[in-house]
Formats: sequence, C-alpha cells, structure tokens
Amino acid sequence: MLQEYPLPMDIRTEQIMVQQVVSGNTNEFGAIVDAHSPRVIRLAWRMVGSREDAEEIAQEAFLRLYRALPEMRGECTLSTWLYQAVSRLAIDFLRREQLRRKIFWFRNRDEAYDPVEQVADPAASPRELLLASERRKRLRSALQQLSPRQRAVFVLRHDEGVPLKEIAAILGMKEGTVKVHLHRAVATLGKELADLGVRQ
Amino acid sequence: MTKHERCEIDEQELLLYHYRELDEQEQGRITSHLEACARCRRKIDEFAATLSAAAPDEMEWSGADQRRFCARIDERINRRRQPAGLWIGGVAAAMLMVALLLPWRSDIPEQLSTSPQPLKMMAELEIFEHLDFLQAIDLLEILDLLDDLEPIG
Repeated sequence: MLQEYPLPMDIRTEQIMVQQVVSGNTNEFGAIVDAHSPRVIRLAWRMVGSREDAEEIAQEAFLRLYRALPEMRGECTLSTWLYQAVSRLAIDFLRREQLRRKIFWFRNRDEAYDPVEQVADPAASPRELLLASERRKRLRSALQQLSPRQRAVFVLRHDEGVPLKEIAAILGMKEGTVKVHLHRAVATLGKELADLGVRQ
Repeated sequence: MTKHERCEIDEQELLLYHYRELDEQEQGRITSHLEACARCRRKIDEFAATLSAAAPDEMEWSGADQRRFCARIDERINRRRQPAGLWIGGVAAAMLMVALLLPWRSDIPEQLSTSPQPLKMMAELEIFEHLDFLQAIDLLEILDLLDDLEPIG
C-alpha cells in the first residue's frame, strides 16, 4: 500500500529493523521513528489543524506501533500501519473536539495561537501576506465544517494524494462510502471557499 | 448526488474524474463528454477552483523539532520498560508486608477482616471511576447519530 509515494525506507530494510526491535534493540526503533515521523506528524497536523495536538497524536501512534511490532506479520508496511493509526486517532480526536464544541459552545481552538501560522514568507509583499493569512483562516474554518470522517478522507486524498481504494483500507470503510465522503467534503468546501477559489 | 439536467454525468463522477480515480474507459468517456457539455466543464472548473483554494500548507518542521520529537518517544518507551520490574517488586513487597502484619493486628474486628464487604465497595468505586468514560461513549454515539442525520437536515 501507498506504493505511489516514496516510502521512507525500503521494505527489506524495514523488516530487518523490525526484527531487531522485536529482539530488544530499541535504538532501531529510534531509527524507525526518525524515518517516518515527518510524514506522520504532517498528516496528523493536516487532519487536526494544531501542531501540539498533531504531535500528541503522532506520539501515540508510534507508541502503539512499538507495542504492536511483536504481533506484526508483515501484512502491511509500517507506513500504512502508521497512516491507519494516525487517521483513526485523528478522527477520534476531532469527534471529541466537535462534541465539546456542541456541548459547551466553545471555540477556543479557533482563536488558538499557532506558531506555524505566524511564519511569514520574507519574499512576500504585505498584500500577499494578508491574502495568504486570510486564505489559511478561511480554509481552517471551512475544514472545521466537515465531519471527522469527511476531513480524514479529504486530507488523505487531496493533501496526501492517497488513492481512494487505499483510503478505504486505511479507514476501514467501503470504497463507495469514501467516495461519498470525498464528494460531500468538496461540496462543503466549495460553499465555504467559493470566493477564494474564484480569486485564485 | 445531483444529476445535471441535460446529461447523465453526476457531480461525484466529475469529482472522481478530476482526481483521476475512474478507470481508463470511464475517464475517456467523460473527457469526450466534456467537449460537448459546457455545464460539466463549468462544474469541473468549479472543483478545480475550490481545490486550489484548499491547497495544503507546508508545516515547518526543523531538525531540532525532529530530534525533540524522537527524544520524547524514546523517553516514553524507556519509561514504559524500566518501571515495570520496579512496580512488580513494589507491589509484591507491599503484599508481603500486609500478609505479615495482618495476623498481629488483634484490634481488627474479625468480621471486618474476613468480610468481602471492603472488596465489594472497592469494586463499586471502580465502576464510578469509569462512569465518565461510559458517558463519553454515549456522547460519541449521539454524535454518530447526529452525523448520520446531517444529510436529511
């Protein structure tokens, strides 16, 4: 799975490293984390929108992987396993967040300071910076209108470029359901971002 | 799914076409259709505009971030591995102490020391501890239901 995308390491190397971790060499697990973490954290960040929460989710995914390694029989690559774990953890996280918002009517995440948002492109003009900042805000707010599953499907397909068949395997859904989620996600984003899209 | 008035191609198919998720034959059929159908061409342009506005940002992730993240995982794994032996040793020592000291405590009423009542109370307390968790599950189920009801308003 995920063969279309450059895997952080070849499958044979990965298998050897897994064997070494299982036989007690934790340094090898450090090497696995090092190779996979940039992609895993980026995926979590795109799904939940906050860097702090993304790091928590990624950490939890790696700890689960560590516990699961002795039971793994090579059914899938570590990349697929991690994508699956992060996607499911992110969906649970988004559900809890949505629930909290529905119950307590609270929007602290919307206004939360995210250092990544403050990073300015030194080559951009003030107008470009303003437009980029507005686009990010609008996009973040639009993504919050999606259900957790719609958001996960959209991020995996649109941002990560994972084919729908693989998304179905990652999220444990039927391919038809994934297509419906993707269509609804794009329709919602279309309504929310209509004027931004026209301006592009 | 919204069917267009004058053609059989629905929006979902057009979106799959945009993402090149249709098989070769279907992809070709829609390409030919687009030459003749202005409405579908407009829809494809709308998708392209929306999706370009939704282009993902790149997250800043430095070498220092990477080292800090890896160190934290390493620390959590080691924390998980090391104290296991200490915990088991500690619990075993505590149980041994209780077993050794209890017979000397003549002031403990016989009924209390032998009755299963405290154990029962402990079990009930544990149930209370899990109530929050059970409520959260209920709420998640409600949320699922809300999600499912979303399409019908």
